[in-house]
Amino acid sequence: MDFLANTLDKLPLLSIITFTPLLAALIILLVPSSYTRIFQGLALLATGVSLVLSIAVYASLNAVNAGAFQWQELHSWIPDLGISYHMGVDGISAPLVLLCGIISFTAAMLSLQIENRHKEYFALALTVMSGVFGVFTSLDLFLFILFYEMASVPMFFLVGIWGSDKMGGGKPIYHQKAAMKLLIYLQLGGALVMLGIIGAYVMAGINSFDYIALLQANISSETQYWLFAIIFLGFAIEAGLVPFHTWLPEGHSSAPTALSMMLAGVLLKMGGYGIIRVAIGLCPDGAKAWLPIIGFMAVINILYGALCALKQTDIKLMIAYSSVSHMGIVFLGAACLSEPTVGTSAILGASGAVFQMFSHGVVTALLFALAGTVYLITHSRDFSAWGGLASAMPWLGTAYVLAAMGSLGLPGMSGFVAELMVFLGTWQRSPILAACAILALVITATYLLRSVHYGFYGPLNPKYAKVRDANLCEKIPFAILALSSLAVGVCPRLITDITTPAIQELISRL
Amino acid sequence: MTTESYLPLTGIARFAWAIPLLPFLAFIIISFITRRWGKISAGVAILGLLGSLGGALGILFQRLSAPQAPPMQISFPWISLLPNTPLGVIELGLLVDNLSAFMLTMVCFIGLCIQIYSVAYMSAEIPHFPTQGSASMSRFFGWLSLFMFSMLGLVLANNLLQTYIFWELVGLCSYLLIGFWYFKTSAAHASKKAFIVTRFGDLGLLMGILLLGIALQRFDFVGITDTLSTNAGQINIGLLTLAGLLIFCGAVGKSAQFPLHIWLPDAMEGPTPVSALIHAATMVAAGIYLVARIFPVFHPAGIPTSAAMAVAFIGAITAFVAATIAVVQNDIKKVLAYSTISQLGFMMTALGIGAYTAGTFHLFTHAFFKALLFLGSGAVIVACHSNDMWHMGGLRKALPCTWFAFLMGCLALAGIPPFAGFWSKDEILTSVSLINDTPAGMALYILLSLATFLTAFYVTRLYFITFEGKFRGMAAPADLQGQVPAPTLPPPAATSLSLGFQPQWTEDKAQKENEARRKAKQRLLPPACLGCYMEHAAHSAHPHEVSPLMWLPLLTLSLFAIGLGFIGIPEGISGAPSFYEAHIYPSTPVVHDHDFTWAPMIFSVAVSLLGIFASWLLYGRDAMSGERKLRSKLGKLAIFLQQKWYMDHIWAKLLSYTMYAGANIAEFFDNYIFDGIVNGCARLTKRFGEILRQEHSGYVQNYLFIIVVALVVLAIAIGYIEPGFVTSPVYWSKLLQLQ
Repeated sequence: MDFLANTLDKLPLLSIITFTPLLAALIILLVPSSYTRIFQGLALLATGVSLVLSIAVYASLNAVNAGAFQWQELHSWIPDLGISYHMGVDGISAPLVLLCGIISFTAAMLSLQIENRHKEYFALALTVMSGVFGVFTSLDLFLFILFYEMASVPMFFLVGIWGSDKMGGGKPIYHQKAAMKLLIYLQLGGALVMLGIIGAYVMAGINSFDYIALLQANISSETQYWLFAIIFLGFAIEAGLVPFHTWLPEGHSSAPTALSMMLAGVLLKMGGYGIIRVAIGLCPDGAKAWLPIIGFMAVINILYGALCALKQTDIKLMIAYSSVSHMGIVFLGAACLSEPTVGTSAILGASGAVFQMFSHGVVTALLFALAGTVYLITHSRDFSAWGGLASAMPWLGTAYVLAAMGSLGLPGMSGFVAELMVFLGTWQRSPILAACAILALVITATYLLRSVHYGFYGPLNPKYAKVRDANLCEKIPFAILALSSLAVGVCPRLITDITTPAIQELISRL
Repeated sequence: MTTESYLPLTGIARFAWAIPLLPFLAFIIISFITRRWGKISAGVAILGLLGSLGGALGILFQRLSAPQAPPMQISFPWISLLPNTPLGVIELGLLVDNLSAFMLTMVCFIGLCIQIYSVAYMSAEIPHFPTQGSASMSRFFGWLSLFMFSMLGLVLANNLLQTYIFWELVGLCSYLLIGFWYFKTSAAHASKKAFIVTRFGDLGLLMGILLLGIALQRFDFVGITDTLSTNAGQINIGLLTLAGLLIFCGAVGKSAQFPLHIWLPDAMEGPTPVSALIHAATMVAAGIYLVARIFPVFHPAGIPTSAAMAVAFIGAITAFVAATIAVVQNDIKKVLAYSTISQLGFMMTALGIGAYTAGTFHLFTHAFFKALLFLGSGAVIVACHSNDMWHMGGLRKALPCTWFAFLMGCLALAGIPPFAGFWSKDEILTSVSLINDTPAGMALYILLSLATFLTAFYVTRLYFITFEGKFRGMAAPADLQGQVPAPTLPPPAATSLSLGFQPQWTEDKAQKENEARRKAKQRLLPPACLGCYMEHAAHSAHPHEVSPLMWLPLLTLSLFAIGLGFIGIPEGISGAPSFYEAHIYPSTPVVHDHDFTWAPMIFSVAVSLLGIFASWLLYGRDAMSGERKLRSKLGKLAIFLQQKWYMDHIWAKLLSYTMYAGANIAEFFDNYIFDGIVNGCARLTKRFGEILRQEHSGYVQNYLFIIVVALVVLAIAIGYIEPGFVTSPVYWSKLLQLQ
């Protein structure tokens, strides 16, 4: 055991976690395209390695010292421009790396459902996974942007080729168009982020893209004000801030199951993480000026997303809008950092925001996984057309009820803890905002339980009298996701003990 | 205060954590190990609860032996962000005091009776559904165990946030168990309604908890009580009132108080033991329990706030409204459901006016006799296989054990001395009568007296229709039987219709399709597709006594319905403070001293007897003609009552004008404004590109033309900026010289 621990300590674990999926993608490109099993096996192996190692990194993280970056790797890369290869995790990014590991592995398992063009699919999907790992592990902002693009560009092909259309009632959505919209929005967000980061690089004047170095640099408050706005907007587009959210429902609902999971589970979190790490971290003075307004927009996000979700009968679209609503909680929590002196508002809000990112990641990934599986079986995404599926697929029905309960914030699952912390934090700052946000609880319950009622309860639609239930390859990822949510919901300290020092560190710089 | 206001857990209370965890363990075992074997699952659940009951009894005896001891509690940090700050740590804990000890014992004991009863009940019910088997039994007991865990956790919670956690968990179990027959549309609808309506109350509860907790910088009950009793003067009364009202919203939802009571009658879709346990005896009492727990918030330093008056009035209105509706119901479970709502209203009124002892005492006695009545109705339903009272009649001879137990329950509910319900209800009425010199107090007293009269009336009606006369069976007169409100009356518009969608496969459609197939001699639909029509019709012509597993719990509970009241005999009669009052150890001094007078007691008994007498006049000889007479007397009012005062309609309208209107507006914004702008930008770009593309025509003369035009424009533009360029030859010469 000691030997194992010692060996692990010496390995550049973060790089291994990040590049294993990419390596698998490269190998896949070299294998003839008919060897489907090999692609599937490689994908599972690579994401499995990343998952196990991200658990190892998370478990070995020094909780007392989680305010500082650990597992750092620093190599010179392009010294003339101040670009280095710098990796590291702290209490804020570690839960997200773990989340990434969980979602990547479960998404890879659900990718076994893919029926055509396996070679291209797995190569692209694994590239995306490497990208998202990189975003959370990189400490050099140039590297960060590189990974960011690596995670978003392949999405265009994945949604455009393997996506599905929304037909049912209402306006149809075609996956090719959704892919286009997704790419344009993500690139717009990326461009703004890049602009902001280059701005920070120039204004800091220390010829370094290194995050830790930039933290020490003095950027004037005036500059921070504008830099924060640009960087925030870039990340907010990625995280689905109303009114820049329209790519999100279309993109998420059109993507193939596994990629919906990646999009909602991890890609949205890149936005939330970027806001906390880059925007607030680099421009604390700018943040204080803008965050009160962001708190207000967050509440609009929460209510607007929930109301839109109420109007959907397309299951994937409904889940996507619920993501808009739930990402509002992240914004609302982050907005608590605007007043670091008011009671425990800042620490509760920011911890809640990070917790919500993890929680929303696993719960929404589970919802998408279930919706995608039911779609695969019934060939319909319109839940009002399903009817009584619990009789035919008890396993999926039970899991869906569980996921819906997780999403509507039932205590015992992760979403409740996150919402509780954010509401507690926000109420200390502004009871009105918190009260408005709380109103969304009942709307969320309404649309989720209605989907349970229409889709799974009631008499069984004879069209689906002989459908199958979930198979083992689907049950395992469902179980992993549900257990993750339950575990941190019952023992929130699994996450908060790691995040607290890092958030205190962040607050101390405000 | 110099001494500690609480003690750590000592004695048997140290094992209090095991009380909720044993049923949870049973839930885990049932879900993962014994799922296939229903009877074994039932055994596991009952064993778990037996353990809990043992623990609860131990704690009760420990508390009763030292009733004046301060509450005991223990807590550990659940989320720890900033240790040593008031709100930086969120704790979970256990609070053991006399109230929770009584409550634990009550919940465990009734739960145990009901679980034993359920073994027989579910074995009788499940075979009626061809798709349900032994695993359904496990599902039932698993969820029942999960409920027991949540309810016991709620009782033991030592702070408001923990209360909220378990509050939501009991809501989940209620949702799952109401929707136990998930293939029935009505059950699916009822479970959703229950969850969402109570969630409306929970919004207020969460806001109230945040408001109160953040204002006082603490969430634990002991701390809140202490703060309010020691620094009562420094706390803003307006804030306390608002917090009290908001928290009371949660209680209104969970305890089905007016106007959020609409979910409880629908919740009768669940199997009858569920109705008995969750929707009569325990979970719906959680609202009362919560108000009792934070009693000082409503009565800081013994003075009721406006919130307390609101509690009293909501309670009294509920008691009256629900009692009027109960009079016109045909479904035996619906009568009992409205009766539950009404009785919960009595308790709320008591707590509102400050009669802590009376309110909590009625909570306990009611739990026993209402569980008994529900279980009795379950036995009757199993025997007749119908919920409609007009399909019953004359069951006294056919089910003697059930009859006896049920009669005891009825007498207790009607408030006839010396049955349990009499003592507790009378204490409430006496307390209210003490303040009836004010107009508000008078109004409360009148409302409750009317409710008492109606209670006696409907319970007697229920008894005579069901147990006396002749067995009617399916030959019941058509004008009396049937659902209430009748299908011919306009239903409340399904709220989601305003969004424009409904489930596509419905029970009606299934029924029609099946008829068509039967005519065409095709294969019929599989049973799972038929929803409520799947049930094998088995209306029995000769009802028989149910199995002893069912009537034994009934008789046990009937002992309590007869005798439990004796622990609460008021001081004026027995000469000493009642056992209950001496042992409940209220967290604050009781507001109203019990200046016992005989007058209110005699009056309340007279009112009850009058109700019974009026009912006997109508139903005693011939129930059917009596009912016809009543309905013709009530006229239009009967329809108004059958439509539940149109509360469902009002809620449906309200929702479609607020939440669903909001959804429609948001959808419009999303499709036409936000997406419109985005797509507009895209279209603009495309159009611009198309205009530019047209210039690339391939004709040389076009290109030349553009070059010439461009040169002219350029020349003019330069001339405009730098006039010398055109007018002075110096520029040109310089240009030439440069070359």
